[in-house]
Amino acid sequence: MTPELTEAIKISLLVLLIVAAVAASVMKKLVPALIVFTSFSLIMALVWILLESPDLAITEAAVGAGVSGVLFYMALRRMEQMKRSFIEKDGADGDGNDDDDKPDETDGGGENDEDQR
Amino acid sequence: MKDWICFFISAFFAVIGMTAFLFAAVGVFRFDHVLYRMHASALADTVGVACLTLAAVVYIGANFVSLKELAVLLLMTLSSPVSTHLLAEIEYTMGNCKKESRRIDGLGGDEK
Amino acid sequence: MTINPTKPTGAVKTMKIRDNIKKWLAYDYDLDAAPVMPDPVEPDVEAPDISFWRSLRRRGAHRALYYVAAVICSIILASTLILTVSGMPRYGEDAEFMDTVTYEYLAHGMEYTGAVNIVSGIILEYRAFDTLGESFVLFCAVTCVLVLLRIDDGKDDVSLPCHDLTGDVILSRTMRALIPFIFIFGIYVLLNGHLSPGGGFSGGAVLGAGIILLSSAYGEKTSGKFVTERTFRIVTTSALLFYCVGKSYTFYTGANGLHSFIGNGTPGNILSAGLILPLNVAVGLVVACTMYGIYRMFKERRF
Repeated sequence: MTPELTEAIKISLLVLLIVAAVAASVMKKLVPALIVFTSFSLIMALVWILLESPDLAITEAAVGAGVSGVLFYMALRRMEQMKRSFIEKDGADGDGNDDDDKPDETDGGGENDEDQR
Repeated sequence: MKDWICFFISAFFAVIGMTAFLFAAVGVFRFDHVLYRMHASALADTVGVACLTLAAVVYIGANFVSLKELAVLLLMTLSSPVSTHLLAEIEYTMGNCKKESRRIDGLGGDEK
Repeated sequence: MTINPTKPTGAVKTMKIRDNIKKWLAYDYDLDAAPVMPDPVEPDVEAPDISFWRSLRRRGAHRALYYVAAVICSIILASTLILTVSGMPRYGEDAEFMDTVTYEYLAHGMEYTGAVNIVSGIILEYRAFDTLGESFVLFCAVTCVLVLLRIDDGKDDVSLPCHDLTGDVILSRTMRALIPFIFIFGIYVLLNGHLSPGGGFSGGAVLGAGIILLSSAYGEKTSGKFVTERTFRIVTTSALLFYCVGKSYTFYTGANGLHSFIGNGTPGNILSAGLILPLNVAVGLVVACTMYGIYRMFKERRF
């Protein structure tokens, strides 16, 4: 492993990191954005190894790529459940009056979407 | 002479592993149904990881590090197909599978 | 010129406060209800129904303003950070003006703390106070989740249709072979904080992930045998208390020059480096309980 090869790998990983970060921010649906966020953590763990800090690499791999994604997904499910229970309680939803200020609404679970195929 | 044999064996395994990863990547991009993509990614990724770790083991030699590599191989072979199986089961049960895409239906079940 | 209000997007029931505000602002989606306002003076020019600035808000101009401001703020922040980082010395170089403490750590770290892994020696000996703060942050996170998710009884929650994977044959049979090794690996990483890369946070994260896997493969009855809410409370509070008491003793004896009975041992042994091993265990337990606690609280509203 020549130093130039290590530098090239480091630079390409960093570029991938930026791409993953931007992609996780601008995605409209939340579940694919969560998957991209998990891949961000994985690439970050590789970058930590190249920067010679194995403590941080182990922690980033265990927390970011493992537990954090799971917890985010559980939170999304809970949010979807709460949203549906509010809709069922209040009748038809749609106080669309103040929705100008909010960003696009996304649905939490993408299990039944046709256009994901 | 022994070094050359080790080198060629590990190079052979590495090339097979990388070809498998190439097939996995192309398959994930080109298929349109979810179950097809899962099939491509699980099988080809597992074979690729196995071949690459075997190449690394043969190249390094009989060492403590290669024992750890074998542990990595065992873990990936155990966990990656199981997780893909679970995802596929959820997708089959919960998703709207089109009739045309289920030519061989091992689980049986009603037409959706 | 008149500006027609845009059609409302399907609101069947609006809230009372919104109705009042609309009346007070004197424009209303409901054209039948008369606004409560005194009779205006007849103007010469036909005044619009709504002022120009308010119509901007309804036409969505504030959204464009928000986007422009967001881009400008991001550019300013990013350029500030990049300029700061480029002024710092390059990675791997010696920088005498910045690293006065680093030379001290690297030269005398192993002999003062007794830890082969300097990072663990720093975060649990030189900077043990900051690590205590981090553990408190984890504890606070779980407490906040416990408080916020328990407001309702949880009875009127619509449960999403989900496929229960608890009794799946493949999962349970495969995890029977894998979960013991996950736990052993987590305990190994936890106990070897002062000898090799690892420590409390990494080991605790791996242990937490192992408990999550156990609970999703075998159901809550199996993982409820050794992690319940009472166990969680006892473990986290006693771990943090032990951290406080133990480290206070070391601070006190070290600051006053007294002799503490916790020696440093020979570097390289498992029982060495003073209090680093017990503190790693405490921090790891807190982290594992945090991960599992948040998972359970989001899955069902009880622990």
